[in-house]
Amino acid sequence: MLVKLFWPDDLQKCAHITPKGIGYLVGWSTGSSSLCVSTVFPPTLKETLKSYIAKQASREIPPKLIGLCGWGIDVRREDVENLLSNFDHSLLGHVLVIVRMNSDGIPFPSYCYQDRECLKDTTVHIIYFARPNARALQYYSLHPLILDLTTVRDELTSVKTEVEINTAPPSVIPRTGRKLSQQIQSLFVEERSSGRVECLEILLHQVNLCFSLERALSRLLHANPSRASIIWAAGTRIFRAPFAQYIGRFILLVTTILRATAFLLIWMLNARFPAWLFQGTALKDLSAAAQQVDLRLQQACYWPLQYINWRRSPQKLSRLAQARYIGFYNTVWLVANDIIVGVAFGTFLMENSKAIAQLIDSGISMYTLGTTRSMISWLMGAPAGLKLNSELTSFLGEMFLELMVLWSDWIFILRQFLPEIIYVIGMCGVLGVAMPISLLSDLLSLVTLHLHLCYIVASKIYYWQVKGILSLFILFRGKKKNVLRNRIDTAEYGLDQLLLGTIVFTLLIFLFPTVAVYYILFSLVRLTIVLMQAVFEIMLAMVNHFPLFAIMLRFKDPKRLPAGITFEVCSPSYICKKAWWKRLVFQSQAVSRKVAASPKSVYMAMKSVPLGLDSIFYQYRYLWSRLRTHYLLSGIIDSLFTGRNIQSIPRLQYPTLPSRSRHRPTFSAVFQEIRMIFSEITDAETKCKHRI
Amino acid sequence: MSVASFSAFQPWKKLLYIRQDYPDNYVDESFLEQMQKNVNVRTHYYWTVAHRTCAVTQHISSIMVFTAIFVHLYSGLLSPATLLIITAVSVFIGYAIWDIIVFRQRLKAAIYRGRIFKSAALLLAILIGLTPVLKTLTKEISSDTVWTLTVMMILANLVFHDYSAQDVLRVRFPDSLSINAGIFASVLLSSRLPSNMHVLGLMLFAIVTFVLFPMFRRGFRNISPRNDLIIITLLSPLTVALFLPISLALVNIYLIGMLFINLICPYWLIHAQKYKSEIRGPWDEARIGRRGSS
Amino acid sequence: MRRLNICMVSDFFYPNMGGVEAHIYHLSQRLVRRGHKVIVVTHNYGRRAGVRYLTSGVKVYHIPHWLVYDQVSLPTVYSLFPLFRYIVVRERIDVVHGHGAFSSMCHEAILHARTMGLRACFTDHSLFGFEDASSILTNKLLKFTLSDIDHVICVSHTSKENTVLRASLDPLQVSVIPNAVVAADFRPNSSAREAGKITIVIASRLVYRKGVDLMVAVIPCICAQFEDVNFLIAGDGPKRTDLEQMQDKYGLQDRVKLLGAVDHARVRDVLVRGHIFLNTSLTEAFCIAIVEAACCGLLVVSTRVGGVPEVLPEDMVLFAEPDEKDLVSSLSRAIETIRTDAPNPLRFHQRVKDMYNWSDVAERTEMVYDTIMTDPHLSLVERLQRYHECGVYAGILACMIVALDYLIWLFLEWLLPREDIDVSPAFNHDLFLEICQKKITTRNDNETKQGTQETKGAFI
Repeated sequence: MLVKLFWPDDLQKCAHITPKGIGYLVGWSTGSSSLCVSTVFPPTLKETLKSYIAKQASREIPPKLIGLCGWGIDVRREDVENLLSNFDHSLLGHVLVIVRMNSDGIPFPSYCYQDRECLKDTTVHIIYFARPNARALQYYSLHPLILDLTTVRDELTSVKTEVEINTAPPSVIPRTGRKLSQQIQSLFVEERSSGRVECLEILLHQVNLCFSLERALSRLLHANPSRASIIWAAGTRIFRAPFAQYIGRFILLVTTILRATAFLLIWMLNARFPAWLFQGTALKDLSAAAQQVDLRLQQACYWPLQYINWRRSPQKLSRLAQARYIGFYNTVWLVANDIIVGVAFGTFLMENSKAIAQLIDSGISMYTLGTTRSMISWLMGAPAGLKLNSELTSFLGEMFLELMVLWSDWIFILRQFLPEIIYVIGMCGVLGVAMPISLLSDLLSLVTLHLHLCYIVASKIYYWQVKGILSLFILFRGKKKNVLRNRIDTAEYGLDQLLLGTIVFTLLIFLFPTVAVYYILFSLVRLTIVLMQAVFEIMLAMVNHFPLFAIMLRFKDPKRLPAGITFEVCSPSYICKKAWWKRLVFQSQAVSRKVAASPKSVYMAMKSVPLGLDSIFYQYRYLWSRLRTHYLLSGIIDSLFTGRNIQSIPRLQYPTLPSRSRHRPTFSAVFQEIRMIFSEITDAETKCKHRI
Repeated sequence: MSVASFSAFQPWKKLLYIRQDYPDNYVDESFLEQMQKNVNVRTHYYWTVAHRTCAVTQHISSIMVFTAIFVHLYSGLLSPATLLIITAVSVFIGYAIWDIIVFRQRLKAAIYRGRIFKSAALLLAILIGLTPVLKTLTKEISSDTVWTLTVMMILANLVFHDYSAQDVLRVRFPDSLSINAGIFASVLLSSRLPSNMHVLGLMLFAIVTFVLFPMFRRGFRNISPRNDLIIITLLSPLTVALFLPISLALVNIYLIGMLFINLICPYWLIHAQKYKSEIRGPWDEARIGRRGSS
Repeated sequence: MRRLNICMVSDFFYPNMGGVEAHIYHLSQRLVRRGHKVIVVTHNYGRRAGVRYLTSGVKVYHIPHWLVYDQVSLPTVYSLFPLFRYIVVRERIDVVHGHGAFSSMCHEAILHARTMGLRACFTDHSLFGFEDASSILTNKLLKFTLSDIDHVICVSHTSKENTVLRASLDPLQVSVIPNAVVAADFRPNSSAREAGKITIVIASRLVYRKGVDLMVAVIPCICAQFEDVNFLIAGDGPKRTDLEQMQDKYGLQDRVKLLGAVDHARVRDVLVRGHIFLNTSLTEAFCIAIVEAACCGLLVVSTRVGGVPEVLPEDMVLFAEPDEKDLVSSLSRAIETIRTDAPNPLRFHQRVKDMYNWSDVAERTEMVYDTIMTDPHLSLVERLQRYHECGVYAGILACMIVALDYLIWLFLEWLLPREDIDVSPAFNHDLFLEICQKKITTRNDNETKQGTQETKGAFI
């Protein structure tokens, strides 16, 4: 029989027995042969332990007594007999393992018991693990932590149980080749009458509970309460005092008013214009600044929910809770950083508003008016020896020039106030650096509005022309487009239709180059502007979505961002490894202490593999994929040739919010939510009062 | 009694579903029996072939007439009013003959006539409206380019023209390209003309030359192949007459070309027939006999 | 009997579906069962590159190669040679057997095989005319490849005549071995037919060569004549629009069903729903479709083109000339036959089963291999003489190509000597059979019971 024993690598430090003593191994047993040790408990407090375990028996994963351990001495036969007679069968694990720890705390399994009989011929695999500190939110996981809240939620809607058991194959990341990982996976699969059972998932859950069990047991040992709990109790008492009730009500009122304003603003930003104005788009799709305000407001509205969701989640270490936690703090950090950088940037803008305004002003007159005007007049001549239709080119040129003139009158007013505008933009830096950036982006689209207008006109003409030529070509081939079936049918045309088609076709073909040059000019201009806006957009994405918190966690404590686990075969003395400098100094000692493990035991170390950078930067991946599908596909080239409008991408900035596809919660729902939170508090107060 | 010895005398059959006592690579006397050589070769008679080539020479002649008309218009020898009158008269005569020959048997001729007149009027109106635009369409292009492009377009017209079409009423795919090339050529040319009236005349004449006249010829030919001869005997003197004031050399080239295509090419074809070696057999892709009766 | 190592080469192999693919697969299976070792060399299909094993240990080499059009690899003449030589040496190949005149990989492999002194054999699956430019080009290429070939196999007598003419071969060098069907895959099932109606099934790719224009003309006529006749069309292709337009024009959406592309494995399910199978092909070397249909117990109506008249006896198929009128009259006769004297589907099935089976094909192919193994070896000069007869200019060009191929071979022999190439261990087919036998015997009883039940059910 093969027994797998999970052994915390710091057991000897937290063992509550003294050297040369015997202790009970407390932990869990899974399946028929997997054991997980949490701590060692002294036999003196046998009854306390018994009652504790019995109390916990109703839990989903009840702790059990799983064996005996002697530190520096062998466990005698009568100790085992004693144990078996003292403890009820239900409090014991399937298998009892008898371990001898040497003075360094290295475990050597001696033999195993099952159903009160000493088992012959057992092999024990000892798997060391570093006990994850649950209070520091460390944990092991088979599945990578997914920071993207939306996908986590989608995955979890189907899972109802407390323990997240996923059907997906666990990602045991192989370190020493694929073969080993398969072997290890097969190790943790048990054949039972009901089918194959994956134990690893449950085992990891036990490993994660290890810390809290150990804490609970040590509290049993040292019966007096800790200082922290005293302070906590005092704090809650103050909070539940009657006058706190009024503060609570006040906070409720203020929050509700703030939320109402926020919702009003969001509604205003999202409301669509009537269809005749701006083609019925919403304000926030027109202006980057409006979008930024919308984002910040939505984030602000979402924060309390996010925080409460995290606090309420039954398991703080579940993936959903972790994703919420990291998501929440990331946004908080980002906003803080945003404001710091924003103030600096804003000050820079404010102090140099005159110079910057001058720069922009000269840019406007030079590029958006001067160059374009000279380009148009060049096209009105015979550009590059092209034989354009003189009537049409002069007509189009005049039209565009007239548009320019009209615009330059309007822009003149704007240009006068440019320093003030820049100053105001700088002041907005208080709201975060994203604000001035988006305002600058808006300013850019405002001063190039005439070019956009020209582009729309030119592309419409071009589009009609290309469409006409293509459909007339279908006519000459003796085909027609069947709109109902969306296919090309064979059709026969009358002579008059054909003749008319021919004349129109000739007309369109000969006018095509003239229209095309104007279209090329304005679409190039448009592309340049879109590119510049894309630069602003990328800067905004940087500011709004940088996974600051996750990166910090990754460097500070990689165990909080698990992506899977890995197993390594190691020597028994793995747990007494010391810091590298100590190892250098005391190397000889360690070597001499090297102990001969019993040949049947295999020692392995389980380690957590931290999350890769690519999943930390998931938002950028998402943004990139959206940008790629929008700009870099053949679609954009296609629309360049056929003259359909090139739109700038809508809603690039929202992936941190929960509802990428879902609707925002309605106002009443949110209000109910807030009410409920506060009613919980008041409930607690009344309870307190009753108790008093 | 052994079956094998018996069946060895059974004749070999060209079948796959029975096992025959012959080796797989057996070659029977009937091998390649179904192969036919030169079945499609018809003995061409010289005069028939010569007759058929009239379709080509007619088209070439009509294009020559169109070119000559343009030259006269360009040089001012021909006034646009005269051209318009000529066009109108020829269209009316042509239509009268067409009406007689095509609608002779049809009952609904009245409806057809009404439709034709309506669409003709509409087309004329559109053309009159578009004339100023058409005139300036290629004004900026230099004359050399215009001449070259025109020649290329007329060649394209010659290449894509459907010489063998039987269908009088409809225009099929490559033929529509040919019409297009013709109209292109006339639009190119019209930019060299001085007034809108000139352009209108030329465009109308182009429609007559490239669209109506070929249809008329087809309908005329359907009555009797001999009618081809009537047309060519009328058309070639007209061409010569129109080109005489322009260039004698061109007239000579035209006449030599006509003779070459109409008289020497048929002889050439018949002469080349004896080199033909065509193999046919059951492996050929079958030709579908008779199209759908719709 | 000598056990041979055979290498099948073609551009067309699974996962692509079609007649050539099925032919190679079934032939290989039967040859392996007869004790030979068979490998298949083809190009990569998408990401499927490298070695794969099929049933009975047939090894498939998917060589990474560029494609030009419709799974035909890019003809590069020499680029295949190093890898092909490696495979051939590694597998100790005796005979290289190419399939399909369209497959440029097959042509190249035959050339290289002859250069390396191996026996080469070629199976032609298609017919070609002599008229248009593309067939002239293909014929020239075929003539070049077949100048120096040991034997050619054709699938029908018509195909043999065609190939002999195209490649100027000695007719004695050409054997006729028909295709076959796995009769067990095409069992009739009369209960699938719609009661009270007569269903005419068409199953083919909808392209011009399959006579879609004829279908378009014939179907409305038949539908107008017979009220109780429906059509079922399986297949897809560029001409599908024509059929749809026909549906719209005559309002036949209820009576003419277009099923679209159907998996080969599911063709039987479509076939058994019909009484009559209609084949309107304009050219066909063998036409496996009508054999499959007859195997399913359908009465076949077919155009008399190519090798089709050789395939089935007169009482199973009604022939028509490829024109609308004749097809309509043949179909009417077939419908009358179904009404008055419907053929027994099981009899049809049994007869087709006796006519065509793959074991027979494999046996006959093996005979071809045996004869070519006894042919004398040719020296390079003799080979060059053969190639020189390709044509006045083509001959010289062919000689140059062959000579360069020979030089490349010598270079490869020097670069990577034969001794350095590992010999791949053979698949132990006898052991495989033994294991299979054990399993079959244990399962046999159950199956015979089921089988009898099924046949009874079909009779009822």
